[in-house]
Amino acid sequence: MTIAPFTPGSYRTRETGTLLAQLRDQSRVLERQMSTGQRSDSYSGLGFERRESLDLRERLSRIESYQTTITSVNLRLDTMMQGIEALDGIATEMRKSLALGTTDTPDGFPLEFTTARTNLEFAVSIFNTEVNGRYLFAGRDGGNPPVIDYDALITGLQGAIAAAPDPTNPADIMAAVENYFNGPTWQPASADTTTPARDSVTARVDDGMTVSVGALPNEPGFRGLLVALGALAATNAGTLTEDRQLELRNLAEAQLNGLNPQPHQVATELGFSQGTIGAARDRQETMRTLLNESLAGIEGVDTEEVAVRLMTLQTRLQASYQTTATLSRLSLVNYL
Amino acid sequence: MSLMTVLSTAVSGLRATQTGMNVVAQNVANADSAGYTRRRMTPIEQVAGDRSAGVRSGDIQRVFDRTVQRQLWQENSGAGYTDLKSRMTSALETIYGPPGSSTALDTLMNGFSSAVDRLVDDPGNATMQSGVIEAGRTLASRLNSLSDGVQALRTEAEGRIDTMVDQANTLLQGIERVNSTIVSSGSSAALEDERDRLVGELSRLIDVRAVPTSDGRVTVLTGSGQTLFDGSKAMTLRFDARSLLTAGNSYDTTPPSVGVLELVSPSGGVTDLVAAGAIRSGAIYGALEMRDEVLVQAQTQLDEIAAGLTRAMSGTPSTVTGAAPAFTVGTMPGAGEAISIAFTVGGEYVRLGGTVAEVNTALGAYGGSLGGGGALNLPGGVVHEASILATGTAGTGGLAFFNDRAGNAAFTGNAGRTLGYASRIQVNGAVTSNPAVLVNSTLTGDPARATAIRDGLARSQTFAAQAGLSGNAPFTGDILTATRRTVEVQGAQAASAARLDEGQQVALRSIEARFAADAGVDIDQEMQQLIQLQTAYGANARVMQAAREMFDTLLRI
Repeated sequence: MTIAPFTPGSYRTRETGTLLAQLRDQSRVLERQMSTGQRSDSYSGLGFERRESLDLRERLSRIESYQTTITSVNLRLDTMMQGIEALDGIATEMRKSLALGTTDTPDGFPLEFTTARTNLEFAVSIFNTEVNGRYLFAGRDGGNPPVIDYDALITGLQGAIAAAPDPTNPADIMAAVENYFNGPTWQPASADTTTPARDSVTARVDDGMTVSVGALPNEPGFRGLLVALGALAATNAGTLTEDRQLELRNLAEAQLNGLNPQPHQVATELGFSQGTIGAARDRQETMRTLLNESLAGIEGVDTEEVAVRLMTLQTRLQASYQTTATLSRLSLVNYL
Repeated sequence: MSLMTVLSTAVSGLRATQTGMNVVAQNVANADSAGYTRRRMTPIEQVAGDRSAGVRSGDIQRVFDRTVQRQLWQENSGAGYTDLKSRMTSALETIYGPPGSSTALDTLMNGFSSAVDRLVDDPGNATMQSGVIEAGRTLASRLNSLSDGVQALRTEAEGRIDTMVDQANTLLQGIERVNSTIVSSGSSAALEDERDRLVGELSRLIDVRAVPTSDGRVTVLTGSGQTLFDGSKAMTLRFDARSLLTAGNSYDTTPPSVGVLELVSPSGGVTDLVAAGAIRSGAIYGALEMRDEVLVQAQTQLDEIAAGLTRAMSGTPSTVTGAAPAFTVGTMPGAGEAISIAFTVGGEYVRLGGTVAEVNTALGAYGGSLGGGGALNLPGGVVHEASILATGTAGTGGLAFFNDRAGNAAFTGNAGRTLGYASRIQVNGAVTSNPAVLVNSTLTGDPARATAIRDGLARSQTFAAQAGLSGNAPFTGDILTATRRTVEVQGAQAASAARLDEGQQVALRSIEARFAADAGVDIDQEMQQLIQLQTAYGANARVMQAAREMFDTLLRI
């Protein structure tokens, strides 16, 4: 827009031209609004509501961020719940089997000594579940498996039992296994030892709302389960008398009955967290819809309104053109 | 009363109508010329002794209203000022990006915050770590390009002033030339129109007024009374433009490191027009305001955002208790840490940063001091906040995620390093080469550092009063709010400049209409005059014919 020098003589005719150009500019703005659906392509054109527009965008971005966290946490929680239910299954199965009375395997030893080995290996593999490179039961030490592999575990347990005062006394065996699992060697050096274990992993799912979704193998309930399984799995039943085998089985049964919390209780706790997360997600979905509507109200235009304004402008422009043409013909010059 | 007298009277009538026709022809031909005012010739009765001796043509006068002309020049200056400011603020606002675009500053800041949130959820995940680093890189380079854009606008303003100063000098010399012609060979409507046209063009660049003196000269002064043309010799405007401006170039340095607008009198006296407050409107003043105030504030805003972002990532707050002049800083920096203190003293907002020794030295300029044990002495000051800044990547708290490209040094804000920091901010090389430093713990998924960063982004900080985010007071808020406020302020500035320009253009147009009502050529009026003159010419010629016939009759006797 260059500034033309001021010419008083032709001022009136130029003035009409300027006004017509202005009407044209207005129509261009309306056309752009119509085609993009946006009120303005810069913050200056939004008026006083630009602050709201900026704030709304930030809140939408924040909700988006929470939603991503929720999706990621839900994936991990689902997998963890499956694992914990499997652990609960092991505990229940062992308890039932131990309560029923002895059943001898072909080699003459109680069945539970063999099944304990399988179940311990299964439990270790559950604790070492990983999703996308992150170990779910490792708490803050997500890059390392929280329990050493099964063979090393068995070796360690057998060594602990052998070092007990009387390796054939069930009470001593239990004590040795308990001490082993109270020590550090069955977990990597960097293992997470947060108490309560639920707080080992937290997730921010909404403004001011943090849920605890952690579970560690060294928490009381799971540790007890490992002790019960370990005692039966690592003991060579052949070294015990039949009475002592029975005694060991009873001790293991007592241990399993006394788990606090039981695996299904852990599952319930995590289930509550999942419920909270789900409620947060639904709330945010609703909020997101509302915010998007508000944003459209500020930044968007109603196409019907723009169409009507364009038509009005068109009429005015046509009328102005008509008038200008008529006036230009009225000059004394034409009549001389 | 003889027939000869009749002849001579008729001839004088013919001559007068011829002059009148000439004026009509001039008016019609120059109807569209710049600065042309309608001419009028009033015939005057010629008196010889006690009898009438015909008619003579009077002076050709210009028809216009001098008061309206003065107002017109005033509004012209205003329009030049608002037009330039509106265009430049709109260009400034454009570099921030349209609402919601993926490169808009607030979008990138929100994106960085989201990346940090994702890192908190899964800190050991290498993808999350590099996501944060990428988002940080994009944000830092956007700040770099915004800062460069602001300085490019400043350089453009400098160039514009240079061009306009050349134009103004040409106009002043033109005025001098026309004025001397008027004085030496007498005034004429055409020359006076030319002089007024030159003054009118000059009024767009600088607010001027022209004061006519009794002998046909004119003196040209600025609105505040500084003489630009004293009636015989014109002053020269001088501007030593710099070819490139950076954040460090400012009018306030000693000597000024930007172009200075000076007026040089013929005798050699030099006046700094800005320091003397001599010009207050016009396009040159508008460009000076942009270069020295508006764009400098925009740069300060960007620098404060960059500094605030760095502090959010690396800082932990330290409580300050007490009242002036004795304050106590709760936590003091350890080895490899720096302290940053923001305070207002004597109405001026200051933020100092660096080691305890550096801050102590800097406080000396304000009559204060800082002791190693936390004793802060600041007479007459108000302390806003203090924080301890990490300068490396050790530990599991805040870290120097961003640092200064100059020397790859940690940013602590010492010794005025905040100026222009927005163009130097970058992600710390130690972080890009080792993303695991974002966890930096034996626990591979320890969220302690990520949580510290997220809390830092949400923590309320104090931003410089000079950034104008909260009027003239320091702005308190978290870094995301400060970014949004910056974008909002720029948008509001552009909108209000555009509104001001609209209003000024309306005012200018209405004054132009008033001026044109008198001075404009109306073709119908001229045609009417033409008819009249034509008839008069015919009548005078008829009189001459009649006189000749009477002569013939006489001679045939």
